[in-house]
This record gives sequence, structure tokens and C-alpha cells, in this order.
Amino acid sequence: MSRLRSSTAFRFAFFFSVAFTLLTVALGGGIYWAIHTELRHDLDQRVVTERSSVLREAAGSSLPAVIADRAAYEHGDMRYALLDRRGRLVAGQPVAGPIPAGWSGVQFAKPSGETDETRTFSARTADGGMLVVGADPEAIEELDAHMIPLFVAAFGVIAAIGIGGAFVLGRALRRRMESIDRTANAIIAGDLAQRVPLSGSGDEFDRLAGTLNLMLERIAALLGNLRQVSGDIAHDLRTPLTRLRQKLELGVAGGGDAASLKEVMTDAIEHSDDMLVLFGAILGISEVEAGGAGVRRDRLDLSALALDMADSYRPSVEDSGHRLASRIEPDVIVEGNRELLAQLCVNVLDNALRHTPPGTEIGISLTTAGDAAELVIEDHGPGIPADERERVFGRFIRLERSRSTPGHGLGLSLVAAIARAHGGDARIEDNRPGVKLMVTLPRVAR
Amino acid sequence: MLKVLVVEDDAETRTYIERGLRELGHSVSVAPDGREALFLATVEPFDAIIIDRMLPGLDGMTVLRSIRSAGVATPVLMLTALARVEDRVEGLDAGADDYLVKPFAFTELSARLNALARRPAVAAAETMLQAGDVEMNLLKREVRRGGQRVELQPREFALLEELMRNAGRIVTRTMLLERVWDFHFDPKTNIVETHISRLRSKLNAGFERDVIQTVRGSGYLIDV
Repeated sequence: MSRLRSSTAFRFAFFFSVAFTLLTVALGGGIYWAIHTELRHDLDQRVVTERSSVLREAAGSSLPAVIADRAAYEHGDMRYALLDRRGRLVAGQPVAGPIPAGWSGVQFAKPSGETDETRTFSARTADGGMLVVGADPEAIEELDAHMIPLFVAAFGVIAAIGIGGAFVLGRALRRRMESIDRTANAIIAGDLAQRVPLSGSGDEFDRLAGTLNLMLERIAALLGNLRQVSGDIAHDLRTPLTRLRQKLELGVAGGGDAASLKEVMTDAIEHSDDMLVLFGAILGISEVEAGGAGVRRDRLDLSALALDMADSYRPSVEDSGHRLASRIEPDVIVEGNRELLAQLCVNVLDNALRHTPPGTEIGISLTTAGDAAELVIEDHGPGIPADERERVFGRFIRLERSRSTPGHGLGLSLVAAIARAHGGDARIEDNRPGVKLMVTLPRVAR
Repeated sequence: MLKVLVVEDDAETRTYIERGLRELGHSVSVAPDGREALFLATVEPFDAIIIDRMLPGLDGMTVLRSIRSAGVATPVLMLTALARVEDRVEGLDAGADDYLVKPFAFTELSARLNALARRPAVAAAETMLQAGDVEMNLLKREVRRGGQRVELQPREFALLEELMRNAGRIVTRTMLLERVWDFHFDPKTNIVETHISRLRSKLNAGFERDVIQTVRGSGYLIDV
């Protein structure tokens, strides 16, 4: 109960229903008061009219006769009495107590002996007596008898629905919240596989749960990535560090002359540079991945950049005995980071050069397809087996065949990270034979 | 010999730079923090200032801005562990003349320092460059060696121009990437090497002497 009271949903529903009930009471009271006033006014009007009618008739005969006549006949709810100067009944129905002049509530005695309060107007007659005309407010009493229980019942029903609704709503909301809470607590406790259950109704809670699950999915993927990468880094750095250590050890143990020591040291510097390059590559990928949409982007002529890269690579391509065929569609504009996209071109071209035998033609093309710019680097080299095509975009992935070629297996993962940071993607298709690497980037209008 | 001020809070890096520069025959003053740097830079004339971007207290950017607003026009080389484009742009905006990302090879620092401190004042206005028997006409976009025309691709021309403007000084691979390709990052590829090799074979065709010297682990050099 105390938990329910501390629930915002319950409190909200509760206060809402209380406000609604009070409004109903005010409305009912208002209606009651208006009808009451109208009926009372009506009653007074009848008393006044009846009195005038009595006095008019009395002008033709005597007042006591008229009163006696009226009182004798059953005139519904009207009551009459004529008193003499000392208050004794002259004609009409017996009344109780002293009668004040003007409007009052006079008790008329009924034939049964009971008294009956009426709405009464009394005034002195010319001979000092008192003419009393009253009306039985039966209609008003009847109204009260019907209306008040009705109002009380309606009030009760509305209050019950309101408070009951507050309980139900509060519990329902709390139950949905609790499922999110349980999931979060399970995750805090270390079970990262937990997800918020969906009710399947597609309501705002389901949407929230869906978003939370996507977020958890992303976090889990990033964590998994981080774990894998730290493992890979540890493994990948141990090898060059071990080699470096061995070289230095040999240099010290050899006790050689200055020249050979210098050679050992130069070698050691090259080894550490290699490790710095590896670190730089890892950092670069993490930066691009972490930056995501935050990577600085400008309007960029991708055609010019691709052409520039193709030209810059032509000597390398030709020196290694390859051939380069470029087909660049002009004026392809993207929102991009020039350095990252240049690096992307470098990596895919290097990749093609490294993994194809001399004599292979490497094609670079830039085309547009709807809102996308498609950069394709293709060759008819040995290709990549279908089941490895997705894997090569992972970090530190080097296919068995390319163990002997230089590199850390980071090139294509950077390509994929850069493409994703630009809202695009990178994939590999079969070029029958060979590799067709396609990078798709969203294009902007000229 | 250059008179250089080194502003670096990390003692090991500071000593590394100081010793390296001394060995090259430069005269070096050091400052471990921004306050000291600001004082030295404004009272003593230097040929170049090397300043670390991240300093305790007054950081490198603030020191640089203060130095500039004090009217000191000494060329400044900024060192930084931050490699993003925005960081470089910010550094250059604050008045740095060049920007070097840590970790760096000492030869890189030395080459950039030399290029900075001896930056010719009116280089942009020159139309003819000459080094030995190589002549460049920047207006006609013509290159001659020993009077004979050498046909170069635009990129090769730009490479040669950069080397000729710095004739007698080492120009590093990353300096060429920046100035010829406008790549302010190292794409870890051999495009510079392959272009130099092309340029070299075109320039040397029919001659004994190699115009472009390769300085191992540093960069390239054209003799005056």
C-alpha cells in the first residue's frame, strides 16, 4: 500500500479522481440549489395568487364564509385559516402556535391529528384578525427525497470508479515499470544478456522497452568488441615486443662494436615504430567508431578525391606490376571527412595491391545510384571465400592465405568504421573471380 | 644554429628534445610550464618555439595566444597528443605555424623546425627556383635540368617545388603529405615513396648525379 502511494501513476490517478468527484459534488449541489429555489418561488407564487383570489371572492360575500368554504373542500395542498384579534380560529383549519405577520412556516393540524408545516403568508385583516394562507411544500420534500439519495449514489459510484481506477492504473504502470527495473537490476548484477520483455501491445511502454533493448544491444556489442580488441591487442603486441626484446638482448650479449650496436638500435627503433603504427591504427578505428556521427564532416567532392587517390596510386600500382583502371563519375558530392575518406581509399587500394598477384588489373569506380554514392574497388585476383567476406571487416582478421603479407588485419575494419561513421556501409561481393569491394555513402545534391 | 625555446612539462620528453637539438648544434632554452614560457618568450628573442599543447596551469593554447598578442611573431611548432582535424585547425588558428602529433621521430621534429625557422619571407612571390642544375619556372610550369626540358605530372611538379623551396634542408614524408596532398594525417601508405621514385627517374634520366637524396629515416633533400 505504501509502495502504491509512492507511485506517481497512482498519485496522479488518485488526485485526478478526487478532483473529478469534487466537481461532481459541486455540479450536483448547484443543480439541487437551482431547482429548490425555483420550486420555492413557485410555491410562494401560488400562495400569493390564492390569497388574492380569496380576498376577491370575499368582497362579494364574507371572508369567514369564503375561508370555511375553501377549507371544507379538499383543495389539494393549500391550507387556510382566519383568526380573530385574539388569535382564535374563526374559520379554516386549526393552526398551532402564534402566527407572525408575513412569510413563515406555520404548522397546520391535519385531520389525522398530526401537524404539517407549510409555506405560509399571514396578514392582518381590516378588523384586526389574521388571514393565514399556506401551501404544503410536498413537491419540494418529494424532490429532496428522490434527489439526495441519487446524488449520494452517483457521488459514491464516481468516487469508487476514480479511486479504483487509480489503483488499477497505478498497479498496471508499476508492473510495467517493474519489468524494466528488474531487467536493469539483472544487468547491474552482471547478466548482460537480459532484455526488457515486451507486452506486444506496441504502446509507449513497448516502444520505450524496444529502445532500451536496442541500447542494451549496442552496449553489449561495444563491450564484446572491447573485450575482443583488448585481447587481440595484448596478443598482437606480444609478438613484436618479444622480438624487440630478443634483438636488444642479443645486442647487449653480443658486446659488439659501436657499428653493430647502432644497427641493433636502428632495428629496435623500426620495431617500436611498427608498434606505434599498430597502436595508431587501433586508436584510429576506436576514434572513428566512438565519434560516429560526431566526426567532422564537410561538403566534399568525392569524385575529385577518388580521382586524386587513383592518380596518387597509379605509380604504386604500376611499380608493383598491376594495372589501374579508373572510372569516376564527376560531381559526386557527399557530406564527409576528407581525411577519413582518403584513408578509406588508401586502405582499399592497398588491400587490392597486397592481395593480388602482379599483372592483375585493379578497377576503381565511383558511380551514383539514387541517393547513394558507390565506390567500388574490384580485381580479378584470387578472391575471398564466401564465408569469409563478412569476417574480413573485423579487427585483426587476416586470412590464412595472407599470413605472409605485411599488415595487422586492421585496414578493412577501418574502412567499415569510416563508411558507417558516414552513414554508409562497406561489403564484399564475388567478382567472379576476385574481390568486389563496395562502399556505399549517402550522397547530397550538387 | 637556431635559438630554440622548448616548452614541455614532461621532463623526459623535454630532455629528449633538448639533448637532440643541442647535438644538432642549436641553442636551447627550456620552460616546464606556461608561466615560465610566457616570460622567456617575451623577454628573449628566439628563432623558434616548440610548445606542448597540454601544459599544467596555463595550457599551450593560452600561452600561444598570449605570446602572439604580446606581438611576438616567432615561428611556433605545437606538439600534441591530439590528432583530430579540429585540434589541428584550432592550434593553427591560435597562431601555431606547424603542428606535430606525438609520438614523433626526432628527425621529423628537427626537419620541421628547420623549415619553420628559415621559412623565406617572400617565398610565395618567387617565380623561378634553382638548385644545382635543376631549374623550375613556376609561371610556365616548366622544369629543366642542365637546360633540358623534363616533363612532369602535376603531382611530381608539386613535389619537386616543395623540395626546391626547401633546398638544402630535409623535407620529411609527412611534410610532403601535408603540403603536396593536403593530407594532415599519415595514411600509412607509400604514395610519397613511389612519386619520389618517379620524379627521381625522370630528373635523373641521362645524368650521373642523383638530384634527390634520401635521408634514411628522415626524408628527402635537394642540395643547393
